[in-house]
Amino acid sequence: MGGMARAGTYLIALALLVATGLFFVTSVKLVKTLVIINESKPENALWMGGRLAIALRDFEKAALQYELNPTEENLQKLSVKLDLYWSATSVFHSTAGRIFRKTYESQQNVFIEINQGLDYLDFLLGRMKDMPDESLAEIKQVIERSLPQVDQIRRYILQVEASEVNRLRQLQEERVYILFWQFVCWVCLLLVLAAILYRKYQLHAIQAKILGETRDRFIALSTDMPFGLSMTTPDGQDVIRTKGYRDLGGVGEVRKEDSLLSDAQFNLYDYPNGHVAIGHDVRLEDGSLMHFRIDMSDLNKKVEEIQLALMNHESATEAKSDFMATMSHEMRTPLNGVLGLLGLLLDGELEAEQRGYVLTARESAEVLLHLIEDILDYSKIEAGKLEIESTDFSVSELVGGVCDMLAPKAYEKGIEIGWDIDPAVPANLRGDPGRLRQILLNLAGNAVKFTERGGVAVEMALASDQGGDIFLSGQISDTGIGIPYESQDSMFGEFNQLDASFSRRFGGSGLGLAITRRLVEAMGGSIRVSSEPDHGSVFSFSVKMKKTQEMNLPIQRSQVADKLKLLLWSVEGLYADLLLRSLRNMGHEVVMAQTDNELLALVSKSQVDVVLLDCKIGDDTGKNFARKLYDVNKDIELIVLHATKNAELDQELLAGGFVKSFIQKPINPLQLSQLLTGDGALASQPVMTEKDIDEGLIGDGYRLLLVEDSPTNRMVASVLLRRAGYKVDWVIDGVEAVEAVQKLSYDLVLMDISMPNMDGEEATKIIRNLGGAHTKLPIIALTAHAMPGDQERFLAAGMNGYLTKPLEAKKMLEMIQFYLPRKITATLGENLYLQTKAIAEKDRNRMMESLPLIDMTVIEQMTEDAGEEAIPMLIEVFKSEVPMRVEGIKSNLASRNFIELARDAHTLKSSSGSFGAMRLNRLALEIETAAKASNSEAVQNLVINLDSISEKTLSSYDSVLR
Amino acid sequence: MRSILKILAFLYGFLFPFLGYASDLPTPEGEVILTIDGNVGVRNLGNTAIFDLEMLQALEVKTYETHTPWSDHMYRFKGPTLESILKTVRFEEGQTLTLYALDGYQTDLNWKDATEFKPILAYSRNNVPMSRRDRGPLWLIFPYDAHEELKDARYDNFWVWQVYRIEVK
Repeated sequence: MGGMARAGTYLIALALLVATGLFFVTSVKLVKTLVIINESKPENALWMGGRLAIALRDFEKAALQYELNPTEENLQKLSVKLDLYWSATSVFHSTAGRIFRKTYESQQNVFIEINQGLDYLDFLLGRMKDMPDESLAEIKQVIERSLPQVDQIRRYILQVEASEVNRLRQLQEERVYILFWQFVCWVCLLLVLAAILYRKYQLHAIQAKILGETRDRFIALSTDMPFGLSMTTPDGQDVIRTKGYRDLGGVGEVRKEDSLLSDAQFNLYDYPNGHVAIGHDVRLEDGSLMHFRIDMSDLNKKVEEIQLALMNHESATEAKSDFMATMSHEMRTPLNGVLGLLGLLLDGELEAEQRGYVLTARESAEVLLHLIEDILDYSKIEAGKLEIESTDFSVSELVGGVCDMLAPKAYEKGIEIGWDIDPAVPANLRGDPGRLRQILLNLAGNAVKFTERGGVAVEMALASDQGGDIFLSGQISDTGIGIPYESQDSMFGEFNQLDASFSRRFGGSGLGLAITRRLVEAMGGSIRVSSEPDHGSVFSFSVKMKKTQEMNLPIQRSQVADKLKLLLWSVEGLYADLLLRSLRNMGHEVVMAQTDNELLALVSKSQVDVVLLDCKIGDDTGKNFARKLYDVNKDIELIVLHATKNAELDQELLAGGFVKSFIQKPINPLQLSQLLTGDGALASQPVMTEKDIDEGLIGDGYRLLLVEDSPTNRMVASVLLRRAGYKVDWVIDGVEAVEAVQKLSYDLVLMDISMPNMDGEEATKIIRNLGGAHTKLPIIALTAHAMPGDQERFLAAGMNGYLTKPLEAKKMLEMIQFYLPRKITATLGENLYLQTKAIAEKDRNRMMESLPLIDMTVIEQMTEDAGEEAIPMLIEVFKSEVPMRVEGIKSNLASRNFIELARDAHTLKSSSGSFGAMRLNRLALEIETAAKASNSEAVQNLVINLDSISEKTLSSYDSVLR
Repeated sequence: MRSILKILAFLYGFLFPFLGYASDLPTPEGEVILTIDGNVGVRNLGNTAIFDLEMLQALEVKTYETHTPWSDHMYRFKGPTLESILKTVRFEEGQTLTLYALDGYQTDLNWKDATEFKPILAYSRNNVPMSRRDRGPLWLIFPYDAHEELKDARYDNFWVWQVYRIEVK
């Protein structure tokens, strides 16, 4: 800025210099012109021209006078006049360089002529006395000649010299004009330069003034500043001493120990009056010293106040939570009363309509109770009253229990539920099983709630192992509706449901996930969700657990000795993936087959040891398939995984040896593992092998009565019992139970405690009072909440024992077995097996006839997989292949090449299987088997049918194509 | 000797006004080249005072090397000052005079014009007597180069050449 102003100043100064130079040059030019104009004097030239003319005229007059009177005196006069004429002419010559420059230059010839005339006149005048007449006449002639010449010169002077002067005058005027404007410019520049210099000077003066004023004002103000600042010159004079500094009372004493502040070049300073200041000292270059101080005493007070307020706030929150906990508890009591009364109401005589109302009221009350329990739970957590227990528990029992509990609901909806535990997880851990169960129930319960098709998988793994502490991680995946991306972060907040419509559709307090999060956090872990809307969600959490005192190795790891080749038949998806993972975790090699053909092909090749048939919910296709598979390959063990029993069919399949065993879903991976490896650990126990249960060997002959109002629980219990071979009847309340035991003699009664109409205790008392066998009838209580003192109450009512819900099959069966010892009736099973075996030995041809030429389901599947338009082409390929293979088999038979024959038969078998040509497939299989055994007779017998069956098959494809 | 003459001349000049007609104007012996008439205090022929070259040379003679408005070059002019001529005829302040030239030209001068710049009536140019054909016999010459005022056009008319007569009024 300053540089630019300076450059500007220099520029203007330069311009001024140039202008001055120009002004000077123009002035000099003007003066020159003026001199020329002054010296040229055209009027003088004119005058001279006039004098020349006059001189000539005078000479002429004198000549005439002499002619009239030729005296000596007149001749003398004539001579003088000639002299004067001469003189007038010579003036021209002597001033030709200046006054007449132009004239003289251009009219030189005229002047020469005039001079010649003059010379001649001299001559004539000299001879005048001798020849007066002739001389006079010639003089006249010369004058006659000279007159026009003189006139010409005069005229020329008038034209040229005057115009030259005019030109110069014009030039002069122009120059004056230019000079004027140059002068104006010059003056302007001078003014600008002067203005700039003046302004510079003025600015300088103003700045100096402002600086001085600012300094004075700063010093004046600084004395009033609350901020502490002092400045001392080297000679000890105080320049500045602010009010803040004076109030503090000087420099203060440095508090040495405060390292935090001194790192930042600040110190704390203590003052005798108790004040504390934060400050910094600076020594300036000239030796003066500055002290900065800020009084911190007030700030300290403020911080203390805030801390106090914070504490108050915390206790207020605590009080609120306390209040909520108390309220919820207090609300629960009367609500229980309402529920009880509604139960009693249902006991009485009601019209159908009224009963409907009461049932609805009871449902609503139950929902309300659930909500209140959530709130109670939450407020306990909020109040910091969440206490984490530390007891030993089995992870697999806990996870399995949770899944068992949710299974009925899932199966009701037609979705799968499964669980698995990573082999690395120790079998037993120390922690809070109740809270972990709550977490799993909440997350898996939500998963079941929000999933309409597909399944739910609960998996546990070891996140980290740090000596005594381990982090257990859980993952609950589902194929449900998912969670919108924008809600995934906030969904663990309080009273947060994804949207109001979910709340209406699925119910709940919206506290579930908040409670879950608090629980997880209380157990030293964290929870996360990742979800894709419409495709499902994955909740993962981790919790801190301790290892149990006694070192226990992960149970599954010790059993990997026997590596099996497994074939899993299932439908691709979450559940199949879980099973695959689970089986692979056990150390087995697993292949998965999704279509029947794949399954048959793999089974026939004997490439697997065990086939696991995963039956979908409410679908017995797998079971029906078992027999077919058995026919294909008897060496392969079949295990059926199913959710619902089909008692007769199951029994038949077991008895016929078609199926090795049934496993009830949700599958316990431990049981499955033991079953596969044939580990005797469980089998050696008197009752509890899965095989025993599945073969119905435990409960055979015994008849039980199940008294339960909840359809879910009823289903769970009856499924468990029937699977173990018990005959189970059920009733829905105490009243019906009392009636039932009087009609039929039951071996044992399972009695729910809280039921409408008549609860378990009441019913038990009545039954006991019936007398007779009823007094000895084992009655086992089923209760959801095992409270201290409950057992005494149940026993006082006449019950023999109690089981806690959710029911655990093992515990329940153990307890039942305690009252109803097992009857070993192996013979029955043996007979059944032999009988079925005989049926299997029936005529193959008849069986062959029973197979369809074409299995349309395979074609349909193929259409779905490859597309409708591709089917004719594929069939054409098959149709051209079949005769080729048939010819191959025939020619190989002729040449007795059974190895090649078996290969051809194998190819025919697999391609016919792929195209659903079941009868041809079966025939090819038998030919292959016979060829491998080099049984030429059997092969020959079989090949006889080959032509006709292949022709029939191919022709029936024509009708398919149409 | 010359210094004595100068002193005598000075004394003469100084005393002259007081002497009155004490010294008469001599009668010219050569050709008369200048006639002063009119109101003249001293005469030597009738009512006029006449001068020959010798008489003029006896007056206060000055030499001017100068340009003129009426010529291109610089010349060395020599002649008596007009003032010294006029004093011989007792021309006094307040009077005017008219110069007459042979070609009929005439011009008036006042006392100041005639005396201020000490013009001379030159009789020679470059030491050569001036003829009638060469603006003689007498030419009023001002010290043109010595005084800027003389460059004024007003003075141009005063440079009378071929002077033969002066009339005093």
